[in-house]
Amino acid sequence: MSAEETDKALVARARKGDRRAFDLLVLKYQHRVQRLIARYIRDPGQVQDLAQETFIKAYRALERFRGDSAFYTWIYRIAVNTAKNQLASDARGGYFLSLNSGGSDESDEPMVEPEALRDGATPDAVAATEELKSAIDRAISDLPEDLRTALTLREMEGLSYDEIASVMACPIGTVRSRIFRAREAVEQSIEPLKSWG
Amino acid sequence: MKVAAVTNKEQAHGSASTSEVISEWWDDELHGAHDWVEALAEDVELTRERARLYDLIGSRLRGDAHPTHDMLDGINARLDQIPAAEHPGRGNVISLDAARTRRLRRVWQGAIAASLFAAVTAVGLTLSTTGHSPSDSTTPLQASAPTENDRAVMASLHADEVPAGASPVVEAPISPLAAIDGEGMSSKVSNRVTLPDWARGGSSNRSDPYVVTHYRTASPEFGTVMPEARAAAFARE
Repeated sequence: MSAEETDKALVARARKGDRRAFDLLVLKYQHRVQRLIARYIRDPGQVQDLAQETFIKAYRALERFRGDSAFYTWIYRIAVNTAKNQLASDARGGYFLSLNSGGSDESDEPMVEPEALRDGATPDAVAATEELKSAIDRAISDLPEDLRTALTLREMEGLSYDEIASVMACPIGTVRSRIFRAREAVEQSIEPLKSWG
Repeated sequence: MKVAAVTNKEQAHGSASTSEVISEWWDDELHGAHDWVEALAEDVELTRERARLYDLIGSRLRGDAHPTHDMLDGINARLDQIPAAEHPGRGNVISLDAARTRRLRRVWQGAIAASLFAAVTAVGLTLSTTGHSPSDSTTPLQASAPTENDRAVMASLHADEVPAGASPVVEAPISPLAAIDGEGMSSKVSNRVTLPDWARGGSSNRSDPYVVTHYRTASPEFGTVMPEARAAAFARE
């Protein structure tokens, strides 16, 4: 079962009214959708709003999703259209940054802030986020070479398991296991910082 | 060492298999595991926790600048506000299989309509090329050779006198000019042009220019039918 078929199976369940299936689609694509919208919209708060709007639109239109294209293609298209509509609406309104963007009267550029502060995070939360990032970095660097290589090829290069198996000259099952073990090891390392979830 | 401990721990509480499937699902590598879709849907919270972790790890490795957030609660809160009738699965639910069947049916309907149109067109073309209409079976009209009388009449058009032996075109015509002149009916064709008094003018014995002009204007074909009359009128003017 490919990714498209997995998504189609979830879509079919969601169309029958299974909200958990739609939850899984949200979990899988919400981060990608946010990053996509962030290429058009600079305000993090607005990015979240538009990402939510994207999934609401998708949910309402699920029965019209014919399955001719992959679900992620469809949801990406909705996201891009939603972001573009927002840009057009902002342009008609005479401003390009929302009130939460930190823009000043003197400049159209938003104020440079730490990422976590842009959406109203407290300084403690910012510190926790930075600590979490450091812990993840340390955990990755502490991984055994084979696990780190498999995870890096997957996350940074976007290679499939089959391609990683060719690169690392090992069975695809080994690749699957290495990537999973690498992730579990990172999770163990950041266990004390449980607030990340 | 640490990894081995983690693996042992996962295997100890028996959740390693589900987590591994989530890892594969996250990487779009869930091949041939239809049953696991059910398992993922059954334990959304576990999937949610893993997805958040995997996104964090990937984001750090790629160096993504923009932080992302878990929006599931916010989305579900908004979905709860949607009227029940507008949710998928309430009413006109169409499964993917049904949608495919409907598309297939549309394709068949289109094919049937196209073939019907082609058949009607073919029959029409066949009838139009091989059919016999009544006019096609009759001999086309052909010009016959001029008769003796035709030749005589034609000659009269170029001569002052009607040749002897030629019968008049009209057996007993009423000459409009003759009638106006009060000469009664005559069967003789006359080439003499005589304008009526009212056309020639009253006391001055000249034609009324208005009448002539009006005549020519109102009846332009007059000049064609009787060019002599027009010439006479111009001469009188």
